[in-house]
Amino acid sequence: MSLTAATPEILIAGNPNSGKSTLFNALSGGSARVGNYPGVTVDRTTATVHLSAQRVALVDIPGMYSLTANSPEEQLAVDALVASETRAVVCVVDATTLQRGLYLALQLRESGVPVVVALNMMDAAERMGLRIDTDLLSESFGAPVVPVVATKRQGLDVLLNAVEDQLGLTSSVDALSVSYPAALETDLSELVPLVERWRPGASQQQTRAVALWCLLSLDEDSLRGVPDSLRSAVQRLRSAAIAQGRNPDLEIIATRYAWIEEQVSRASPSPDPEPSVSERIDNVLTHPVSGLLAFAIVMFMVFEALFTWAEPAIGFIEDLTAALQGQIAAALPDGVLQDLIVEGIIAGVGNVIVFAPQILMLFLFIGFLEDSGYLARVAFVIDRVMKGVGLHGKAFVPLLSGFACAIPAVMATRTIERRRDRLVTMLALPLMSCSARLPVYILVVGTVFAGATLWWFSAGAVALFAMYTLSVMVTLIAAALIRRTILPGPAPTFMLEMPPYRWPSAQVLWINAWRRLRIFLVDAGTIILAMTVLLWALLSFPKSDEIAARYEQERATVAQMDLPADEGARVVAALNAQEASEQLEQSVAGRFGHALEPVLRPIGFDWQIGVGIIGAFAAREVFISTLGVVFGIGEADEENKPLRQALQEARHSDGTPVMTPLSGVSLMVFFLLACQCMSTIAVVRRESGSWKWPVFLFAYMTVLAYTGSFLVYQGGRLLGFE
Amino acid sequence: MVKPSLADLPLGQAAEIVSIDCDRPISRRLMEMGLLPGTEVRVVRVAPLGDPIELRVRDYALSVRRAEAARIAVAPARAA
Repeated sequence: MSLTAATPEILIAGNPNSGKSTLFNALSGGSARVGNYPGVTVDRTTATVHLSAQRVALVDIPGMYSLTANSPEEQLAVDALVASETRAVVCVVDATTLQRGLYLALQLRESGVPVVVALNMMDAAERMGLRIDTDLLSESFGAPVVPVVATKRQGLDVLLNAVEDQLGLTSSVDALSVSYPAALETDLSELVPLVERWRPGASQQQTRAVALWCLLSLDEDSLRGVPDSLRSAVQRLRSAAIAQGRNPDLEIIATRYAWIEEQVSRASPSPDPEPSVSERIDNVLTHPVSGLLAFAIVMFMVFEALFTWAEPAIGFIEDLTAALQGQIAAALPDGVLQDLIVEGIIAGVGNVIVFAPQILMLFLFIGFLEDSGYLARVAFVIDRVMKGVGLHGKAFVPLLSGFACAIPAVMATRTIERRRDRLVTMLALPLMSCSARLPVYILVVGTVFAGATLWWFSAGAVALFAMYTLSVMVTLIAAALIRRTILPGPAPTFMLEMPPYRWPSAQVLWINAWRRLRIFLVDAGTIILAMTVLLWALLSFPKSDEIAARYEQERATVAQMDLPADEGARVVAALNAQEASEQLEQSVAGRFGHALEPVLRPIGFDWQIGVGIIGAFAAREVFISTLGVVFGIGEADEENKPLRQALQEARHSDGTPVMTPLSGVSLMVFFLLACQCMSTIAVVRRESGSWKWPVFLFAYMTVLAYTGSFLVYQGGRLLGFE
Repeated sequence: MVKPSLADLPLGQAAEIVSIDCDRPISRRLMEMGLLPGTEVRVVRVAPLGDPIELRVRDYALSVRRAEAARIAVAPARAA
């Protein structure tokens, strides 16, 4: 294989919180592209950088403490390391936690790949009184060690030069070789022939490194591509070792740390650092009283930002979409093409962009919390509560965000490290009562509970409160059940580093939030746009010429009646609304609504509500405008009086009213529990990496919604409610 | 006699890890993050709701749940 075939890749590796992403952004100037590693849902962020003599691709691999892997996600770092394009690794080490960072650097050096150690946060280390002899470290690791301060862009040129030097080396770099206890060396020598067969062409030292990696990683793992012979050999060696009272994991790790301690004690013989500012901040922020108070205030601000601060921007985007629709509608002749562009494409693009303010807002917030170090404290403070339902403390912010909107909330689950924990959170949080459900509740409450009271509260307020309480309960129960049934696994653990508090860089926050938004617009946006057009078609076709001709005639009759201008316009508008209603009734969606009626009757709905539910798939609040069309009212919002009246007057074929307090509650429960939101489907598809999970999500929530509404409606009737 | 664990360690008191007896992936992760027999460790903080707890080890802070801490045996630190 020719080494010049592809652009040489330089991996940027490092512990979480080592400032790896900051360094990556500083080196790439924010020009990064985000892709996906094949088969796993881990972002692959790359950027092209020009060195003095050549062009290289920087690849930001996920933060990690070691190369040891237990899942395909963790394995990708190792795969990237052995890929032929990989020519060097920059290992970012936080100078203030030298030993732990050097553990990864040592593992990388053992694998034989050229390594440059970027000793980051040197300024913080110096403030703590740490002195580090980089020359000595460089000598013992056999790799350049470059002090940098990524946030201040210090040392970057030296770092890039060191990288270029590594690329220019003609002979391969000698791997670092640490001597392990004799018994372990024997185990390794048994594995070497098997590794040689798996990876022919690897150097002796690489083979040794892979054997070490296998011994530490295999057994009870879900790694891909490892030959069975190797796997069973590791199992055999491990059982034999354990029978002799040995622990190979401990032997490997302890030997490495002993080696590191020795090097560090020579290169940085400083006394233990003083308790830092962070500890003093934490005395307040994780205090039983002030800590919980601070937690509540910060979470309230996240909530407020999503609900209120994003609102003007959302309104602006909606107005802009409507204005554009008006312009195009006026410019194009009436007809299918106009409808497609206005109701399908522009509405679809609007449906995508409308999420931008909340996504940006949430990711700026999360970025700030994460980079400042407080997100780890959020998890620390609330983990006790989340543990009860089998969630990680880090699931709290995504769940809370779910009250505003599931789209940014699902995207926020990526702060959770383990895929299993992430999936459980992602699959439960769409049950949080998002803000798009509120207009539906308000319409229903205003229709069936107008003026009613329950004790000394208004019945509507009680119903709303009940919906939100139910939503939280169902979400937590669903998470616990999914964890126990669909995604069982080893007991979830917490184990989280509490990084020192640091002031985040505004540039990095902005770059990361923007990157997330772009991923959403491109990946989820395409799906949302396609579904909007599809829904438009279902609600518009087939068109009946007979109905069109009949209303055309009626409009002609009205025109001849010589009415006053405003009176004439009012009559024509009413005719148009009625025509739209009749056309909708015989469209695919209308017919589907009719066909669904036998299924909908047991939960208290009729075909008209059914059509509304189908339309609501575009976004829950569209339920209301669809109902407006169904009832021949035209444009309607949740406060619309004629729509409420039409709903109150709607009758089943047997003459009983459709909307009663009971069917109203049933409808609210349905909307609370159903996944009536194609954007949620699209974003879960993006974040879970397959269609399997969104399909499961839609199916379980629909079944849950139907069952919930059925129990409410039939149970209520048994209890004598109407 | 039951070995004292990290979960029983009084706040602020230094101790030395004797052994880690969690499930393999957790033990391995803890060891790779620098918690090894002989490593000095302190409990520096308890979460407001009583769990998890925050440890200070190898110049950084790590929080673990009490369930894990209970399976990390410790002994009084050797005098410096």
